[in-house]
This record gives sequence, C-alpha cells and structure tokens, in this order.
Amino acid sequence: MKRYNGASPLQKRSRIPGFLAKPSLVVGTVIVVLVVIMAIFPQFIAPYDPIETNTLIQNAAPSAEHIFGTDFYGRDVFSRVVWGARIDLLIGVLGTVVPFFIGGIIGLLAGYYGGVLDSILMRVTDVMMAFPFTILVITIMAILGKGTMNLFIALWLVGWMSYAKLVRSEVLVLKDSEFIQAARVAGFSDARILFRHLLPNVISSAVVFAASDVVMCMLTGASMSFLGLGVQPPTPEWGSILNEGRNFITFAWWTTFFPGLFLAISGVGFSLLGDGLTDFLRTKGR
Amino acid sequence: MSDERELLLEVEHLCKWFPQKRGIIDAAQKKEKKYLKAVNDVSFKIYKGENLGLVGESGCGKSTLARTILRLYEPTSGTIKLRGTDISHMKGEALRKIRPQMQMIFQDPYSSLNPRMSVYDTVAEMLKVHKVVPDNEIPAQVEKLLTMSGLTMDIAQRFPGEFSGGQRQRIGIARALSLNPAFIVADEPVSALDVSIQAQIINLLAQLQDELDLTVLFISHDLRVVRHITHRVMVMYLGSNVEVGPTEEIFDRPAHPYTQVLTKAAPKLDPLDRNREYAIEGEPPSPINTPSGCKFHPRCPHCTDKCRTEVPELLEIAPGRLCACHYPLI
Repeated sequence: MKRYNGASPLQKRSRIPGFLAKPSLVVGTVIVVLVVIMAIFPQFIAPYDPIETNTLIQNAAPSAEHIFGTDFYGRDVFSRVVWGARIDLLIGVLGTVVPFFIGGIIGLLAGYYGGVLDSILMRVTDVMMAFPFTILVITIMAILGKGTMNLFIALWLVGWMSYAKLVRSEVLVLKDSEFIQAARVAGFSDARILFRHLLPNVISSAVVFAASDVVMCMLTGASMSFLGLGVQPPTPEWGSILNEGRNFITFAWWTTFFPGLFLAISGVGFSLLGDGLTDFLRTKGR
Repeated sequence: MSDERELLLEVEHLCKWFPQKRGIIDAAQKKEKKYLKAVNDVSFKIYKGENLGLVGESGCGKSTLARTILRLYEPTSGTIKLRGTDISHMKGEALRKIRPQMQMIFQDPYSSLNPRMSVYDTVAEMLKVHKVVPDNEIPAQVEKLLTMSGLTMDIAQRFPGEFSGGQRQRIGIARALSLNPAFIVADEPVSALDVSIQAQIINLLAQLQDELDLTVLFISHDLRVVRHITHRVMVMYLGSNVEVGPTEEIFDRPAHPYTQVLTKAAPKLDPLDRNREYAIEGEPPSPINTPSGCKFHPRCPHCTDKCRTEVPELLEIAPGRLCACHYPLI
C-alpha cells in the first residue's frame, strides 16, 4: 500500500520548534512528567516507609536524615509526600478521564440526534451546573459517605456534564456542515459518521478542558481528604497530610508546608500544560 | 428528443415544508402552524446521460430540492423514484444501500471535506465502505480517481487545509465519482471559486460527463455556465418549477415571464449592450406567506386578475417544453 505515515514534510518541520517555542507548554510538561515519575516509582524515591510510625522522632525538624522533617507520628514527611503523589495523580487523572469518555459520548449523541433526550439532558446539566463544583461534590460525598471510591463516584457524577456540554455545542456547529452531509450522502453508517468524521473535529476543546480539569479534580480530591471525606489516613495523600499537620503548624510547619507546596506546584504544572495545549491545538490543523 | 432515453429519476409532486417555530403565545391564540414551503409541488424527470440545469434566484429552493432528492431531508409529500424504485421514504440500511447511486458535489469546497482526513483517506473510505474494489486494489483505484479529476497521487497524503479552492473541488469530484454513481447533483460547484478556476472545473465536469456517461443535476445561478454545459433547464421560482425545456430553446425563446426576465437580466460582458428594460422589480416574496394564484404575479409585467386567483399548472406548451403560466409567451 502506498500509504504514507504521519504528516506532510511541511508539518513535520514546523511542529517541533512550535512545541519548544511555547515556554508554558515546556515548563508544564516538565513538572507533569516529574509528578508522574514520582507517582509511578515512589519506592525508589522515598527513603522511608510512608506509614511506619516512630515515636522517638515526633515532629522532628528537617534534617539530613529527614529532609522534610517528620510528623506527629514520627513518619518521614518527604516519603509521605512522594507516596502521596500517586493517589493525588490518580484522583486527578481518573476523575478526568472517566467523565471525559462518558460526557464526550453523551454530548456526541445528544448533539447529533437532538430530540427529547437532548432536551432532558441539557435541562439536567443546567440545573446541576448552577451549583458550584466543590459544593456538589461535598453534597454527594455527604450522601455516599467517606472513602476513596466514593470520592471517585462523586467526581464522576459531577464531571461528565462539562464534557457533554462542550462536545454537544461543537457537534451542533458541525453536524449540518457539508462534509457531514457528504458522509451521509456516501451512505456511511451513523457510527462511522459520529466516530470517524464528527468526533475528531469536535474533541479538541474537550481535550484542552481535560488538561485543566485534572487540576480541578486533584484540588477537589485534596480538599475532600483535607475535610476528612476522601482518602482516609494513614494512606498518604497531600490533602490528608495537610489536615494531619494542621494542629502543629505553629511549631512544626514542615508537615503542612511541603505537601501544600507539592500540591501547588503540580497544580501549576497541569495548568501550564493545559494552556500550552490550547495554543498548540489552536494553531495546528484547521 | 430525450424521451427515447432511459428514465433515471422521476420526481412527482415533491414537497418539502419546514415547520416554523410557533411560540407559546401563538399556540395559545390557536394561530395556524406556519410552514416554510422550500419545495412546493415540483415534478420533473431526468433521463440517463443528460445534464439538467436547475436555475433560480437565491432562496428559491434549489438546494433544498437537491438535498431532498438525495434524501438528506425527508420529503413532506410526493415521490422520488430512482430507476423505478420509490426512495422517498426509505430508511436505514435500505437507504444506505441505495445512496452510492446518487452522489453530490458541494458548493463550498472549504467545508465539504473533513479537515482531519487526508485526501487518500477521504477517497479510500468510500471505496472501502461500499467495497467498490477489493481491498488490495484500493490504492490503484484512488490514483485512477485522482488522475481523472486532474490531481496527482503525490498530494494524496495531504490534508484539505493545504489546498486551494479549485483543488479541493477536484477532490470533491474524485470523492463523488468513487462510487460509480448513476446520478450526480452538482450544487453550485463553482460559485465559491475564482473566475479563472471556474472554467477549469466546469470543463472538467463536462468532460467527465461525456467520458463516464454521467447523469447530472447542475444547480447554478450563473446562466452562462448553465447554457454552456446543460442539455435541459428547469427554472424554479419560490419553491416550484415554472418552466422546463431544452436549454437553447429556453434561452432563445423563454415561455414564462420569469424565465424571460431571468435570461434578459443576466449580465453581459459588453457594457454598451446592457439591457435594463427587463430588470426584475422587487424582492421575491417570503416562502412562508406565498402569494395567491400564480406566485410570480406581484412581479409579473403581464399580470391579470386570473393570475391573482388561479394557480397555473405545469403544462406541455410545445414538444418537450413545460411551462406553468396562464399566458405563456410562445
């Protein structure tokens, strides 16, 4: 087959410098990659067991042995922060990816077929979106009870709506365009039209939103855990570590400062990545 | 003359009315539901191998008629028969199976190609889905189609965004031809192109029609182009066809006053030879509130009382010539 893989030479040449020319995208990517490495290989980075207590060194200040100090139970804060990246990243990613798929498909179908289903769906999302994201998550958590799994369920129940709305509005713009009419005249099945012709043209704004939504989910997950609703101690999670260190902040600032710092830096990293991705997707193609 | 040829498409009393949104207040007052009568009682036939031109002002329902025939819209009433098969209310799988026989070349080459699919994929997908050729012959077939449309295979991996309007329209033509359709609708295929490119595309279409014995419904508001490439012409006014006949005869001796106005109003190249006498007056009436009687009567120079009350029927006034007018001009 004479198929040529990849883009034309012209695109290839311009794409890589284009990527490097956006500092926000580069910085964001570096931060995200570091967080991901931390989340995947904490056992090689963390010097101590994150849940092993030691009453001899309660609330020890940062030193050569414990670079971020220790907490009330004598646990190494650095190790806890490193292990915490795993669960926080998981909340961010799973809290985004699952709604991305569910919401994307619902938006695609609602936008393309319209009708009663579409009307019902849009009214439901209008009502739900009238409440702030965090409030809704807290409410659902309060109903479901605390725990990591319930935190995910709450994030999924609230998260899909933004994706459904985004994808639906893009579908409405494109569904009567001539290339979709051409696909219908060609006798393609609805599944082919939806997933091969419509989807690739409507998904980019949802992808961009997903990049910033990761931050939102991470922060919400950390907030829930801080409030004692999400991840339960002694599992290391940035929000719950913050909560544990809260009582000792006047004389052991390190137990709250470092997890907070890591949360902030990774939040900034994902935001930069999202922004950079927006510019990148906007300039490319079309 | 064309009557001995095989009948390919027969349209009878075709209507496509779009219901207008009715507010709650209108509904409470029990106002009648209004319709936009985009296509209203259109009947015509297309014979195999012919090029039928469809002309009329913007908004007269040309594109809606074409899209209804291609079953992008469900007709409100009337029948569409393709080779004797009634396709007017066909659905699902049966409709998908019949679709390859009718293809379309779109007006806007900038929005009619999927921006995320390469030229190769655009054409190859058609061949693959409908199994026009065995899978291993697809690349050769794509090359053949691109060559036929005046393109080369080395552009096949590029994306639509990298082409000019004329090239995109050639890709659109290659795509339309890929399924070996019996019937092609060309919906103003050149109106979005530069004048210099228009001639190339028109000539390509004319040449392909000869070579492949295609049947074409050619929609245009450019009368010079229609005169150049069509065999017969159908004139539409406010959703109905007012005149049908052989191209040369219609242009030389129009029977319907609207056709006369339309042909005489066509711009000429010689600035001294402009004829302002036949300049059409007023705007076409709204297709929601159509005039009584003959729809053209508010703008017609020959209007009488009969025209205001009685709807003229489309009748054969001379061999091969149909006209919907109480007082045809021939």
